[in-house]
Amino acid sequence: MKSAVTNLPNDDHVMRHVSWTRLRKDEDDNILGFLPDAFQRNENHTSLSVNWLEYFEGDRQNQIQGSVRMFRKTITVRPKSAFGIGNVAKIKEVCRSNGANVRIVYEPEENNPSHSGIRRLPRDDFSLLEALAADAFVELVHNTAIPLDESGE
Amino acid sequence: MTSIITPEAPSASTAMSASMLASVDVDPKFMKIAHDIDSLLNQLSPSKAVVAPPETQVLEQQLFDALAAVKILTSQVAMHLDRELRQKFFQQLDSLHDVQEWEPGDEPIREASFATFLKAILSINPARRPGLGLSNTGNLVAAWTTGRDRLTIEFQPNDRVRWVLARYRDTDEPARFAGQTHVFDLGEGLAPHHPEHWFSHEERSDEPSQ
Amino acid sequence: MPVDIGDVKGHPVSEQPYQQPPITEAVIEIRFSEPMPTADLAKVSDTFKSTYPHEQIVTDVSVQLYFRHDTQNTAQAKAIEKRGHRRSSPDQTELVLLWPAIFVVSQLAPYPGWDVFFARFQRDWNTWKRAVSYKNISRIGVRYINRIDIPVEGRPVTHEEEFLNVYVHMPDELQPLAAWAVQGQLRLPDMGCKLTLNSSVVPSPLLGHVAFVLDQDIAKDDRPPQNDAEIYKLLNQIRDKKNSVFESCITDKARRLFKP
Repeated sequence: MKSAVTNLPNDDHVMRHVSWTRLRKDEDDNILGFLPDAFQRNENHTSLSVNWLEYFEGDRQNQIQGSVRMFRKTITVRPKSAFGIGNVAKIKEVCRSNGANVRIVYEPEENNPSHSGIRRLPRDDFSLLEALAADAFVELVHNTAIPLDESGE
Repeated sequence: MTSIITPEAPSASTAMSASMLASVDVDPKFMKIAHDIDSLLNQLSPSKAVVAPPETQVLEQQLFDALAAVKILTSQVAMHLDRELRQKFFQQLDSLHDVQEWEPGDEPIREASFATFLKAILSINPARRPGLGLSNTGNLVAAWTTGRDRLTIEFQPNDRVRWVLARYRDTDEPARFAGQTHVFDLGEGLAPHHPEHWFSHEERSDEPSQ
Repeated sequence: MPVDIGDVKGHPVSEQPYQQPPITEAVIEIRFSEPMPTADLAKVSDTFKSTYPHEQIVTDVSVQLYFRHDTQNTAQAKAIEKRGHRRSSPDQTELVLLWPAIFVVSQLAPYPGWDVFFARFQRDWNTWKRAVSYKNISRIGVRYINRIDIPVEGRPVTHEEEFLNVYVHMPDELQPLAAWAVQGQLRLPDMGCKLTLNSSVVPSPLLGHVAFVLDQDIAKDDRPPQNDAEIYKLLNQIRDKKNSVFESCITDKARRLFKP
């Protein structure tokens, strides 16, 4: 297990779970990406919840699988939902160019040791959230693309 | 003795008060007056009947009630809406509210947001339908995507809209514009950015990721 | 003259004079002398499940106020809540509403024409009769709610008389009106029915439009027919009457909006 850090390294990545209703689709419901609303933090939360991808061992594919399975263990993940992956430095740069100086910090939780948060993210800046959706979380992983593990997660 | 009844009767036509009066001891001449008054009342039509609050909050019923409300709202403008377009929108709305995909804590579509959406769609009349999503508060979000270029509009209650668009010219740095207006001014707000780039089929070149 | 037009997508529609009829809701209602028990109503609702898969419980709360002139300052209020079942097609355009003493079939826009609507009523009436033993009918009514959307097209004021023949007439110095509503009731002796006509300004759901509602309710509550043949005959008579009432209430300028 890796040790806890405060700020995630700039070269690392975070993964955000995005529900079906927050996915950007075309008129025939083909998934194209994310809506700005996918990155709006909960009103009661001080940070936007993400998983730290590099927390998981192995190559990139193993890390993605590990993170997705961690989401499946800790929150409700519906079949057609997806996951967005963004580079830490890129997220900070996109936010900075939209006037927000965010911190991306490691916030392990008891049931999710990869849990991290994007702090100081303005909640209702539509333009900034759209920039995150379009330019920061540029990689999309379909939930259905990740097979269940032995425990069914 | 006399009685006056103030119903919000959901029936198609005259109220039930005269028959209700029959169950109490009332002078027939007052019955006649009550009946005549009742027959002049504007009654709620079946589509506007008041849905009883559920005794327990069952998710399926909650989603159904929200969908039913916006479909009934659509019927109010159905004479101005192409039948196929209406069906396609309903498919998208049904898909958005699929109980198998519903996340705990999400808000189903708000009727007031959908009313704003209908006004906008009937006004700008885009050749291409948008993809649809929902905000955290249940506002409808419409997304048009042409290549990498994105136009996103959130429809809020009280005829308010907020929009953001991104156009990638020759660089990786997009030009991004945003606005928040009354729905009446949406067309004017988008006009300088050539919205036909998203609204017409001709410029479409995006490929879905699945 | 009505013409057989079909709709733009080729869906079957019965003869109707307009491509875009302004009907927002059409209703046929049968009312009975005696209400049925709540449990029975739920069973009746179940019999409609195959044609109307979705069900919502609807409520009707009324308040009775009693003022007694033989006692001082005494008034009694009594709230009465009735519960009904609203069943609907998946697209919510076809509804049945079942109250303890009322059976309602409703069609929301897009209106498919009388023939289609009436056939649906006959089908549902048969379903209702199979589920419920004979009940004395106390009233038969038909209601058509029309909303006429008029593009403003830059005009500061829309003159209702250009579109409607039923409106409020006000002195010149009290013009223009921000809103109005009128209501009239008249007997239709040839049919033994009563017509209640409502017209008013309503907010248009379209941008850049004003809207007027024409809401007509034709009903027979004096010895209404009790057998199917007579009921159907009455409903068709009412249909003809509501068409002529509607046509007499609008102008050619309004007709052009509905694309004849």
